[in-house]
Amino acid sequence: MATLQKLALIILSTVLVNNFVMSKFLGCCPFLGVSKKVNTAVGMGVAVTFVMALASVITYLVQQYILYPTWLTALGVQQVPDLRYLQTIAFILVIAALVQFVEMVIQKSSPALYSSLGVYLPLITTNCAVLGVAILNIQSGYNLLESLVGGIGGALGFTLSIVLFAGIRERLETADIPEALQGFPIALITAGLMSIAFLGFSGLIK
Amino acid sequence: MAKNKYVSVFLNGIVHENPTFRLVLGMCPTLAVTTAGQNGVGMGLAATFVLVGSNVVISLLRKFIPDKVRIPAFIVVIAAFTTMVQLLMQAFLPALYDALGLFIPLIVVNCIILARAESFASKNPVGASAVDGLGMGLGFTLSLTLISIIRELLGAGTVFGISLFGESFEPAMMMILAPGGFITLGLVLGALNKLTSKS
Amino acid sequence: MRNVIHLGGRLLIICLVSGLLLGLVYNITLPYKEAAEAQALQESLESVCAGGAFTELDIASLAEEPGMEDVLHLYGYTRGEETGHVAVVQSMGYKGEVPVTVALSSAGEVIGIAIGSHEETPGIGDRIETEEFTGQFLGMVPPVTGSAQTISGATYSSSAVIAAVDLAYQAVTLVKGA
Repeated sequence: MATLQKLALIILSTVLVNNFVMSKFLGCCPFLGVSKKVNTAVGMGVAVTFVMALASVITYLVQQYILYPTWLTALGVQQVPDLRYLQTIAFILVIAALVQFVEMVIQKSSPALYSSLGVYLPLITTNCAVLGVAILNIQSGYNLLESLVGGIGGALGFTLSIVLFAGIRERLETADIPEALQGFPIALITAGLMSIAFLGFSGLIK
Repeated sequence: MAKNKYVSVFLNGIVHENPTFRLVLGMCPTLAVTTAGQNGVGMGLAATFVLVGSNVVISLLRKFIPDKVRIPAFIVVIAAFTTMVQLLMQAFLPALYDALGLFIPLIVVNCIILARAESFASKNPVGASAVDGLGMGLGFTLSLTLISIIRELLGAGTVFGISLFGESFEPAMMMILAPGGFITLGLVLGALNKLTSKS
Repeated sequence: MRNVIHLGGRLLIICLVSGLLLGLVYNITLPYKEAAEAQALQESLESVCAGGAFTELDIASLAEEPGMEDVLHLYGYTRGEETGHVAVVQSMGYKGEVPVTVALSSAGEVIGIAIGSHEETPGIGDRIETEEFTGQFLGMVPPVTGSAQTISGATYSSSAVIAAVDLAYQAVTLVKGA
């Protein structure tokens, strides 16, 4: 059950304690750009969760079997080629391909969802959270299952903060804000206040 | 004519279309690495290197890259330059590499670079693209530095590591933690809006 | 079909050229990177045991012992008449691993300690780098858990360093016994 414990800790950590947006600053661009309405925020969150889960698994496999194929030693190969410096290129290409694929799948299976998400789907490629979680999984030394859970956890944390933020922003639309602060400035200050709230979770994990 | 055009393209990146304050792009590194002056400058210059490099290469290849695969092609070029900056930093600036951490490989998904490749470098000759990259990059660096100085000053009492206030100054720790990033950027953006709307 | 080949082909060329260029840059920068890492290691060794001569010990067999995966390097040192060990270990702090270099004399006393680059909270967790905190370990004979003082408000970060000191001591004991 130690595995289950570790997985539960990973989820708790990525969703609340080290929330991807609020404390790691990953995924800020869509966080600020796509959070005007709760509906679009939820849609974006779901799409990102799907992409991040798949990306975590595939990038883990690429790292283990192609970039640093230590499994070759079992076949008797002495000098294992170390291509880990190609990690950035390999991972971002995997993510770009994955987003294309997800876009095609959504287009075929649910045209309504596709038209509401529209232009946001290709933007997932440049979402720092997706590439960020892939790199973080490798850095934390997770195995395949842990990477998957890390990816899902990160995405859930992202979705949580973007939906919460959208809810606040919808309310802000009707508030009386000084002209200079309208738009991004007030959004950022609000995000800062949310971030202070999330700091409160930091004692949860030893 | 050529010289004037270059100057206007250059200044465009720094002032009129400043990536952080006007285009609101590249938010992730702006919020994450601006905890100290030298980190802001380091990240800005690294991003400038990638921006200029990829703008130049993409502009050179603009007739070679087919339109349908242009985004993946841009990404490969940008990723190549990002990896180059990673390798160079690891070898020659290991302290900065440790400080910037995860955000160096994340330069590849910095929206500024892809946006400039798509909207400028793929449609303009090499000279102008290089200057645009330089202008945008320096504009980015300047805004990062400004925010870093504010956060470092209020959050640690130092500027580029030099202590300004002495022993009795109790810094507002929050400034160099996550909330400080959001709030500082928001207030600076608001202030700039106020200043530019008057003129 | 021809279109796909045309598109894919051009993309492939760009990928191959980029990959080759990167391989080139990697091979050129590799010696510099290794030199920088070796120098950083040497500097941290010097900071815990100035003027010592260090020999790296093989920890392959040690790494298989339970709890020893966080021991990164182990050195024996000689300084004049003195001998002892220097262990470079890492210990989980608040935000990530905290690398700690500990020098232990042959009598098992801590004669030097240095904290490596970490991600602990600036202003709170990074107080583990202060003389006030690290100074208390000098002269102590591990195990120090229970007798060393943690920093109030930075319990996780300081406990990590205390655990690291004890881990270093365990590693050195295992190596001496073997």
